[in-house]
Amino acid sequence: MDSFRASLKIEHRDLLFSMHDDEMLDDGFERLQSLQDNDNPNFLAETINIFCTEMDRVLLQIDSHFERDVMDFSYMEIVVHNLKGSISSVGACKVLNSCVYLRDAIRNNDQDRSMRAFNRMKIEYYTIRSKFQTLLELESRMRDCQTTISNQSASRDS
Amino acid sequence: MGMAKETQFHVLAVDDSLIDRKLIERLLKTSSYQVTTVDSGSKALEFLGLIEEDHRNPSSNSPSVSSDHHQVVEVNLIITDYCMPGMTGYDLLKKIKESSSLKDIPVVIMSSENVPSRINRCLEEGAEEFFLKPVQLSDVNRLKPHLLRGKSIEKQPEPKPQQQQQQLHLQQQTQQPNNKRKAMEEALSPERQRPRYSGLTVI
Repeated sequence: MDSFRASLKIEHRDLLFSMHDDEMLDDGFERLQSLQDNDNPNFLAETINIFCTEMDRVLLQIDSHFERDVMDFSYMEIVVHNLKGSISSVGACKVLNSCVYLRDAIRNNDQDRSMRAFNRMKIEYYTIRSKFQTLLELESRMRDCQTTISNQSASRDS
Repeated sequence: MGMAKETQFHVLAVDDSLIDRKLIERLLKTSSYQVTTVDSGSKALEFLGLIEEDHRNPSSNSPSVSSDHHQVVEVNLIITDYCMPGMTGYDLLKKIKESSSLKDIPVVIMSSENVPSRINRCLEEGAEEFFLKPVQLSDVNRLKPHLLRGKSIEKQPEPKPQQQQQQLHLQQQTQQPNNKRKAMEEALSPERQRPRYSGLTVI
């Protein structure tokens, strides 16, 4: 069980390394990690889940907005500005860059460029979302492993 | 729990973004502050008791903090996002500074944008600090002096019962010198020709 947990840990570490390497994550994410401790063991998972829920919702919103005949650029700018804040808080670097690009296109009232930028942002987001899911799954399995180990040693001692 | 409550500072955090509320709450709690978060300026004012509450229907959905009284909960610092729909952080700051009951509560503004004119406007209106988002632990550490200053202003005692005692004490003291003066006068008086007045010193 110990070696299994160790291998999970390595997988977790490697995944994080590769995300940093690919510049998907910046130190905003490290800040989130540092706020998680034994008293708040679910902080990272909760925050990432809030982020993904919000992103999913807003992307749908923007999607349907693009289907309209006329884009309301000032409304879109507000939506994208708020999104940018959340992305930045989570430290999702590449998603942030594409979001900034989208915001600029909106500010220039450029519909075509906005659509392309939006598609770019969706790709970046879906990529990181799937990695976040794997990361959180690994963490959850590591915690389960830990619980099993402590239960086993407790029953051994009793 | 009781002891901790006395020394714990209570911070009200205002932000329309759920993630940012979660973040700022965690950051503040890490620094051992008691935290309340609300998602708008108007909810912040409601919490602070600034909006007159008509006798609310107890079955209403709004979270009830105070019912009959103003400001049942003490807030030691308010930290608010600048960009919010409806009432901005700046509007909230102004309303707080215009209120006689709330103007001494330190207010800190947060913003994701570094706009010097915005920063200056807020500082001129009375904001203590302006934090750029994402807010970090080092920013939260800068709150302490503002909180401590607020507390020391509060601690000016209501002197009424003590004052009365002090006044009594003073009266007793002033009587003695008069008596002393009178005694000295009498001691000197054989050589003086002026008439003696009881208890009065003639200048």
